[in-house]
Amino acid sequence: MKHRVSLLGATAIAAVMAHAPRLALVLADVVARCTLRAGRRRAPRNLDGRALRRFWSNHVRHIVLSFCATRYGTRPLQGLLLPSPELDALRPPCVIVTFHAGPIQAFSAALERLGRALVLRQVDPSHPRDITLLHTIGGDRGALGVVHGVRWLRDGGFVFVAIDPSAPASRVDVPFQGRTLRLARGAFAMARIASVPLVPVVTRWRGSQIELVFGESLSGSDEQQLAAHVTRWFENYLAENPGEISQRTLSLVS
Amino acid sequence: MNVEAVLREILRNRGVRSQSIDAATPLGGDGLGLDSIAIAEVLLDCEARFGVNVADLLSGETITFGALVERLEQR
Repeated sequence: MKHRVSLLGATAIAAVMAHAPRLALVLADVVARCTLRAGRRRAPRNLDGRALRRFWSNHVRHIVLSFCATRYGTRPLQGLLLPSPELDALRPPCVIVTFHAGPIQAFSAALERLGRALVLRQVDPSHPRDITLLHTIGGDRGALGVVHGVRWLRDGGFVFVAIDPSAPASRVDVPFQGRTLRLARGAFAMARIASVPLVPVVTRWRGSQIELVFGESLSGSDEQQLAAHVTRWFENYLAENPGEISQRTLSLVS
Repeated sequence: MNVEAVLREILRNRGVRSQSIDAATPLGGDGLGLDSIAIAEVLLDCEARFGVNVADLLSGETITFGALVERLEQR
């Protein structure tokens, strides 16, 4: 019953989002405030106060965005994305990597601005409609995805990958917050094989708009080093924005 | 060019030492035990050697030694 009510609520707010995104975000935040107790149960123990509210608000907004993108496509998100000089300055070929932090659905709008971006993602059965863009390939066919990605890079394109996977993949272990984070290896391997730089980026909310936050790009032939570089950057980002950590990332920490 | 011999050479260069490879041997998992990145590198080596986008011909199936030889021979 509770699940059905949540589902209905998310669907309704997603419908509002398709026409009035800012109003939908206000509604999502009201829901987040009313269900903060549930957020406390799911959040890392070190989060409280503002960081906890941020974590839970991100989570609820994420659900609404996912429902909206699944049902209405990503067009409603276009107007939410803030201009980004770093995005405009990116030149192919390069591998763009992200973590599931913040409103990740907004990357579809960002990558449309870039053009020529190949999105490698795992097939998620709860998202029957393609919420990313251009070209996707299932992570369960990882080897073919890497071949496709390398070819795309050699042809002078961008490849975009989330490196905190939901399904088993070839992994690389890196230190993270005093523990170990298991990342997918594919993005680092593609950068090494195609000899192209790799640049980390995440999305975050700025009020009711979405900002892209870029890290420094890095080239190299050592996958472990590339993964450590990206993770250090993400760790520093989370130190300044602790509420931005997602349940996906948390699930990969051991 | 003997495709099978070239493929065995590519695998040897990628560190595969197994002597008992037959057509049904998968490149990953219980077969040669290569992970997805290593399989990708073998496929890229094949593409460079034979000038064919072999990965496009393999979509959606378990990649075995025999399937790869067959696709390369059909190119």
